[in-house]
Amino acid sequence: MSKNKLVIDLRRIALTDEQRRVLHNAIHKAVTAQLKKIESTGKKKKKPKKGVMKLAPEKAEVQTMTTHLEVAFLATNPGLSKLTAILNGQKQTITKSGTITLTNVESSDIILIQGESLGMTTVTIDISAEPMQMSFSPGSFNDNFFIN
Amino acid sequence: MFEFSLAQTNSSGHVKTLLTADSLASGNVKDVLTSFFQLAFNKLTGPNKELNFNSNPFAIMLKSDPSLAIDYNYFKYRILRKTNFGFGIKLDTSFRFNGFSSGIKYALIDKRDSSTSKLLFENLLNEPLGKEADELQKQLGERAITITDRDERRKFSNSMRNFFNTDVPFDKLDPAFQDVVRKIIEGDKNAFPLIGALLQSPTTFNIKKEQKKAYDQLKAEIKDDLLWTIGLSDTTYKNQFFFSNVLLNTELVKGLGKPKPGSNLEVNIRAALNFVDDTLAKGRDLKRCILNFEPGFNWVIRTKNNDQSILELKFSGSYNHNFGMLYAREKRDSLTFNATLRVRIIEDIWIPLEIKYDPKSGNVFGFLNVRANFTGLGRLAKSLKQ
Repeated sequence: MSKNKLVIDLRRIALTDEQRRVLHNAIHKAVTAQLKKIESTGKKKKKPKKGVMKLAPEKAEVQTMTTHLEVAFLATNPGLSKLTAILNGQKQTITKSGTITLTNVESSDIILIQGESLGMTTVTIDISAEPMQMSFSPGSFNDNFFIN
Repeated sequence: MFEFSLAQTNSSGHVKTLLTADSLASGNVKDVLTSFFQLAFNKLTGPNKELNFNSNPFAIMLKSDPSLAIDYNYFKYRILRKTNFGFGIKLDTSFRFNGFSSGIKYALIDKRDSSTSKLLFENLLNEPLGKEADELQKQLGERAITITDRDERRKFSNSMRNFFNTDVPFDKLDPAFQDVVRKIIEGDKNAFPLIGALLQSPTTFNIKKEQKKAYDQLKAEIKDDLLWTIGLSDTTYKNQFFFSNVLLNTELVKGLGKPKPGSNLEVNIRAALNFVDDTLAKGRDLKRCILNFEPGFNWVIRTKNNDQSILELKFSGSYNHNFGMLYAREKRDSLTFNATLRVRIIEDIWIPLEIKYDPKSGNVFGFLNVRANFTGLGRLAKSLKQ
């Protein structure tokens, strides 16, 4: 089969000539647009030199995300709590209920959570992570989010 | 001095009820300012019995709207949190209705409230074990970044969670993770003196439990700080909605010396101005004004394992001065010596027995009371059900 052909088996769906023509045009248009995108972002892969060991998996397309950590301090006054989120050395601290925004978050990243509060603390993350929510009793606390 | 319950999800996904209880407060302090609900049966053995209900308005509001616990609301409603209101009915010897009573109380100073103590928060920020845990977690995080395999990194993240935020003992953690922790600690022993000491055998320690222990010790340091309240209460006649008595009072409680496990002493001073009906005058009025001043000491005996008060003995002297008209054979000034024995029956149910002695007449009066906190009754009902 030609490398430039894309076959879609419609199985039992019967199409009229007009329907086939419209569908064909739409698919052609969509595929052409996608191919253009791939061509513009695609890089030529370098072959590794002989005798050099590959240490880390190559990140061909690194997808970064922005995440929001919703922090609630319960049964205490604002200012009597402190929570720090640490991601790859970048630190953000909050002393009253609110949101921490972290940028350039990648899959497999670990966000460290540490702090102190005179009340209970809950932290909820808005992207897929383990765990999705954590809670702490009054006192000092430490935990981490693993980004899926 | 505030207590509330909230169901929430912990990191492992289980729902559990957490209580930030003022369980370390003495029964005497709970009588001065209740944190939740208190039902009191006063003077059960006397001619004028009372059934009183006291509560904290914020605690009632929180029951229907848990979002009030969020810090900005907690601060916004601070006046309500520091307020107690109460109402009750008076009964005679035959348990017949003898009038209504109501009252309001406000805590001017409450330095023993562990949820709002700036001193406690400062101490918590400087608590050495917490600082060591933060540094250790930071170094473990740096170690985690070097792990390239996704599953291995996830496993390491789980081990960190188990180490810092679960009850899993150290020796039950992943052995490879244990080695990493040991290497970090041994690499810089000066930075981790406390965790280093914990790592010495036996290694069944749990960092979360150790941090809780450290926090409880900090909390215990403020449990005897100053509590000062002012209040206003009144009683109506049984056949007319008119005040038969109006009482303006202030009360102060402060621990003496450094708190020790087992027992402690607290000073308790009360002052009150009581406006009552002058029965010699025609009609009903509030012309008789009596000053009462009662300084005393309360000896609190606590259990050593959880520091909860179980028995309290209070000795006080009471001085009364009548500013109004004197009745026949009535003295302008009088003095009594009082003793109160409080026994904690279960968690929040107390039985205080009050004895008053008048040294001039040689009379002894005794009153038996029962004070029950609603959370205590809830626990009792639960245990009976089981």
